[in-house]
Amino acid sequence: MSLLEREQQVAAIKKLIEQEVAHDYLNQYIDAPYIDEDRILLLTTSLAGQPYSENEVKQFVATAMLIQIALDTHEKVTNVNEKQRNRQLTVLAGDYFSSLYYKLLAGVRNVKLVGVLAEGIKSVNEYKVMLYRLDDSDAETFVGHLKKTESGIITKFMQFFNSQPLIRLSEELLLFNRLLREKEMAESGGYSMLLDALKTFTFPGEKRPFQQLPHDKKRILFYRCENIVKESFHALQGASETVSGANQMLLDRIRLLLGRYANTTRLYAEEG
Amino acid sequence: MKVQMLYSFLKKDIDLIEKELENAVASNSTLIKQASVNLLKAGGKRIRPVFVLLGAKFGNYEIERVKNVAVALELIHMASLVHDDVIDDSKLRRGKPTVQAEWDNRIAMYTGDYILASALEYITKVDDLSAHQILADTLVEVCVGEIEQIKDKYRFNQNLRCYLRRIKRKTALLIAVSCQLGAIAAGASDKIHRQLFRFGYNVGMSYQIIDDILDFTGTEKQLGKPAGEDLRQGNVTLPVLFAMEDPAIKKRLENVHEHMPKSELAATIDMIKQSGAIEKSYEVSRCYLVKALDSLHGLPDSRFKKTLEDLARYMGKRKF
Repeated sequence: MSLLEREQQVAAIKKLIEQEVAHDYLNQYIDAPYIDEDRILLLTTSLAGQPYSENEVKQFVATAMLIQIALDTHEKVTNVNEKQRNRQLTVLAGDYFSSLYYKLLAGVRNVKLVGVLAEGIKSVNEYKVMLYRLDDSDAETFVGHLKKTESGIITKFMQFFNSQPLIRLSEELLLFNRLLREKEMAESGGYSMLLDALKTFTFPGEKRPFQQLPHDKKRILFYRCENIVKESFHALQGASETVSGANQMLLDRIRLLLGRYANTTRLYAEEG
Repeated sequence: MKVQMLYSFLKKDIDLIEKELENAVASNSTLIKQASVNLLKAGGKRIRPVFVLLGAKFGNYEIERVKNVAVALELIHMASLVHDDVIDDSKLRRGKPTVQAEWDNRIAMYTGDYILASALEYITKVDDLSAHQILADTLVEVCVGEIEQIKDKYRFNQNLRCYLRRIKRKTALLIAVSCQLGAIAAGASDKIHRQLFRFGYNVGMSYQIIDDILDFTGTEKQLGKPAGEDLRQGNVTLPVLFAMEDPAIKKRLENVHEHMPKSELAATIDMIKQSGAIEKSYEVSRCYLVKALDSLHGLPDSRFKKTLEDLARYMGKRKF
């Protein structure tokens, strides 16, 4: 498949997902779900060379994406007093997207995949509880569990389709993306699960949320965060150099991502 | 008489399903397990599994095969309850604290998602593709129905058709497919499983209308929530629709809001009760009950058919 064809395939799947999740009333109250093209690319790559029709590939990938979107949507349900209708519709939107995943797979007669992905959903939710309750005692375990929540569905998908060589690369890419998002959230003054966890591990008695900490404590935590991101950077770099079965578009995407990060951190270092 | 007496001959199989439900929620996460088991132990009539088992009696009944459908449907119901409590911010369910009350919204979301995934794992043990297509379509419809319910809140100019479509999606469909999928899993003929679907659909409609009536006629102790709570939350149910035929009541109902004082809400409920709307609603419920019983005509006579009839009548007469 040429680069152009692959780009078109990713775009077509994205469009299919957009059509599936479109709902007039939901769209009025909740943000349109984020459709991660990196995930689509990983999923389609894992099906390259397999004996499935173009339509089947689209449906399989869209299914795994719908699950991820459903899980991500439910992540937006918080405990704070938000607008009641928004909370209600966020819950229902996640449930609705989950039901679409089952419907799509029943439509293409792949019931086995429904079961395998359901195992993945269970496992991801177990890890989410651990992260949320801060059951972990150190940053390394926490980040390991974060990786599981990000890649749990994709891993199950790839195991099902015998694409094991791509699993490590997928785990590292999805974790790296997540860590960058966490860091950016904290930098912009928003809530970051990672920074809050690091606060607990570093300053166990500290009750204030990360955003309310004094500058010196924040600096220490950002430093720890940066080290974690750097580790993830190297892990992704290593995985992309040794992976087999990845296509050019995926490798180019990773190179771009790594390059952008390297440039940003260099800039930071230069600016002191 | 307790409803369980009607199907006491299924006790052994229902006990097996109960054990299987516990296995289904035996998560590696102690918290998810505890939250789910608490919900299981809080009881519930297990009406969906009972309908699955009874539906299966019209085919080649093998409990090891049929239990997967029964467990899946009860888990789907459980998952929806956990999420519904987040939607409604409910603190009590069956007299026990809800998952969101005992922990919080986030834990309730994770628990509900886990339980739903477990349901899908169970249903995939059934190798009949039509069963999956039916259940998948139903789940989508149920979700759409719940979204519609939010959309229709405090919308007092809606019509009867809108209400009926909503309760079909909200309640009747899941009961209908419980009967139908039991029969499909047991290899019953198309004619039989379609008849059972119609039976379940009509029972479900009758059941939900009664539920909506009880919101006005039940006590807080019977309902496990304050009377009139559905109305306070803006749910326009059948008694409300009938009561609104009186312009004075309609005007009053249009002023209902979430923070309405208790005394004002009680006065509105009294007006609805005195309007004849409750009796009219019972009449509609009875019509569905008759249709449900009619749906069973032509099915081979057996104690299972008789139990379905008895269950339908029982559900049509329930007081809480």
